[in-house]
Amino acid sequence: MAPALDTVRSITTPEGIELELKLAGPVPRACAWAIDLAVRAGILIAISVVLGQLGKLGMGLMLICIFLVEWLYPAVCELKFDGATPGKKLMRLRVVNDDGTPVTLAAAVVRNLLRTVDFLPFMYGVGLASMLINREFRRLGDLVAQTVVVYRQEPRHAAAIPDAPPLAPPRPLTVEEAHAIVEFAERSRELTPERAAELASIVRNLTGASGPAARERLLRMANHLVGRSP
Amino acid sequence: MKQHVFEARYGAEWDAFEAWLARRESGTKEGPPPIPDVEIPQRYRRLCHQLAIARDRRYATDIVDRLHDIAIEVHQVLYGGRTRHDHAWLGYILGGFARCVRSQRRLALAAILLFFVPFALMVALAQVYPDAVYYVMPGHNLAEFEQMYGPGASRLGRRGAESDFYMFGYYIFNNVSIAFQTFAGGLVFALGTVVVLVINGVMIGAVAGHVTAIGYGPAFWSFVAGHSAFELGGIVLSGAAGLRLGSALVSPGQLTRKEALAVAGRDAAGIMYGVAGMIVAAAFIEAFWSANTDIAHAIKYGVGIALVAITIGYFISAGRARAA
Repeated sequence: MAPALDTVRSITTPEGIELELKLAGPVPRACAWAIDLAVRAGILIAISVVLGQLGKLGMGLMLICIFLVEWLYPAVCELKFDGATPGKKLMRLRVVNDDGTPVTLAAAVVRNLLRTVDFLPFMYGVGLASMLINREFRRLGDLVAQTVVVYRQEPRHAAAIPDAPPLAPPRPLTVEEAHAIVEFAERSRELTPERAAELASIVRNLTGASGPAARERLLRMANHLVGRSP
Repeated sequence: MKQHVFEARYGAEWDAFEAWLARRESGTKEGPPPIPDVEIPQRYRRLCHQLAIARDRRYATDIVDRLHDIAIEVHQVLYGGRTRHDHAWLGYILGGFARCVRSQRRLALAAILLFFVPFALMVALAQVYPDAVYYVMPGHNLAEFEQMYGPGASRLGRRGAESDFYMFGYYIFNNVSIAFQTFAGGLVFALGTVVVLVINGVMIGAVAGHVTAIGYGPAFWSFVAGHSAFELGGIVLSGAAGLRLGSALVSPGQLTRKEALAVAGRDAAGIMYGVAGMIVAAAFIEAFWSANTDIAHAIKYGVGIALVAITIGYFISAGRARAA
C-alpha cells in the first residue's frame, strides 16, 4: 500500500491489516544520539563529583560506572522504556523489531554492541553509509539485530470538518473525488481563507462558483459526504 | 455507512482504547481500567476490522490515522514480550550458555586456535631467541612488565600502588571493551575479529615469553593462573561470536547475506551475554586474588587449574540433558 518512494515499512499483522512504521532517517537519529551523549556525560560528571571524594576506591567505582553507562545505558533504556533512550524519547523515536513488536533483549544487546563498527572510521561513518544505502535507514547494528528506528505517533486531535448545511453534489462522485473533498474540508481550518478559496476554485465545474463561495459549497458537500443530517 | 455515522457508532470504543493506552503508558493503577485486559484481544480485532473498513471506504485521513495509531500501539502490547520468562537467566547460566557455545563449536575452536597458536609460538620463540619480543613490543613497555612481575612487586601485575578495587574497575572497563570490540570486528568480514585475536595472542605471548625468559616466570604464571580461564575464555568466545557474524557475510549459504546476518546476530547474542559475565568474574579474580602476593604459588596454580577444568567441563557437558 505504501508508495515505493516513501520511508514507510509496511507490515501485515495476523488480523489482516497493514501497519505502517514511519522510519526515522539519519538526522533525527543523530540528534537523539547527541542528546544521549549529553545525558551520559551529565550522569558521569555527576557520579564523578561524588566518587571523587573516595580516592582510589572512587576511581575504581568510576571505571565501573563508565563501563555501565557506555555499554549498558542504550540497551537497558531501549528494553525498559518502550524502545527509547531519553534522547530518542525527546526526538519522538523508538526502536522496534522489524515486525513492529517491542525490541527484544537479544536485539537490543546486539544492535548496541555493534555501535563499535557503525562508529568507524569516525562519528558513525559506516553507520551513516549503511543507512543511506539501506532503504529503511538501518545501520549495521539494525541489520544484524533486525530492528528499525521509527517515529512515535504525535498525539493528534482529529480536525473536525467545519459545520455547514449539507449539500448533495450535483453529480455522483467517484470514491477518489469524494475523498479529496473530505480531505479538503478537514484541512480547511489550517489554510488561510484566501488559499482555501483559491483551491476550491479549481473544481469550478463541480461547485459552479469561484472564490469564497466555492469554498463554502465544498464544505457543505463534505458535510453531506460524511453523512451529517441537515 | 457514511463516515459521520461510523464515527458516532464506534467513536466511544476508540476513546476507550486511547484511554487504556494512556493509562498503560503512565503506569497508574488507580481506578478501574477503561477496558478490562481480558477484553483487549477481542476488541483489538474489532478495531482492526474497523481500520480495514475505514481504509477501504476511503474515510477521511484523520479517522484512518487515528485507528492506525491505536492499532500500532496495541499491536506492540499484544505481540511484544513473547520471549520473556521468569528466571530465564538461571537456565542460561546453568546450561543455555554452554549450549549456545557448543552450537558454534567449530568457530569457537577456530577462535581458540587464532589466539593460542600465536601466543604459544611467541612464548616459545622468546625462550630460544629472547630478542624476538622487541620486534613486537617497545622496550619501555617490556620494562614496565618486568617491574610488575619483578621481585620487588608487592602487588602483581600493577604499575604502581593501585588499590584492588581500582584495578577491578579498570579490568572490567578495559577487558569488556576489548571483548565487545573483538565481537563487533566480526562484521568486517571477520577480519576485525581475526586481527584482534592474533594481535592479542602475539602481545600476551610476548610478555609471557619475555618475563619467563628473564626468570620472573613463577610470579607471572601464578598471577595469570587464577583469572586466565575466564578472561582468555571470554575473549576467545567473543571472538567466536565475531567469527559467527563474519561467517554470515563470507558464506551465507542458502540465505541472503541480510538474512544470514540476522540469524548470526541471534546466535552471537547468546554467546555475548555469557562473555560479559565471564569477563566481570575474571576482573574480580584478577583484582582481589591473582594480585595477592601472600598466597603460595602452589595454591594459585591449583585454583587456576581447577577453574580451567571447571570452565572446559562446563562448556562440554552443561545443559546436555535438556538439549536432547
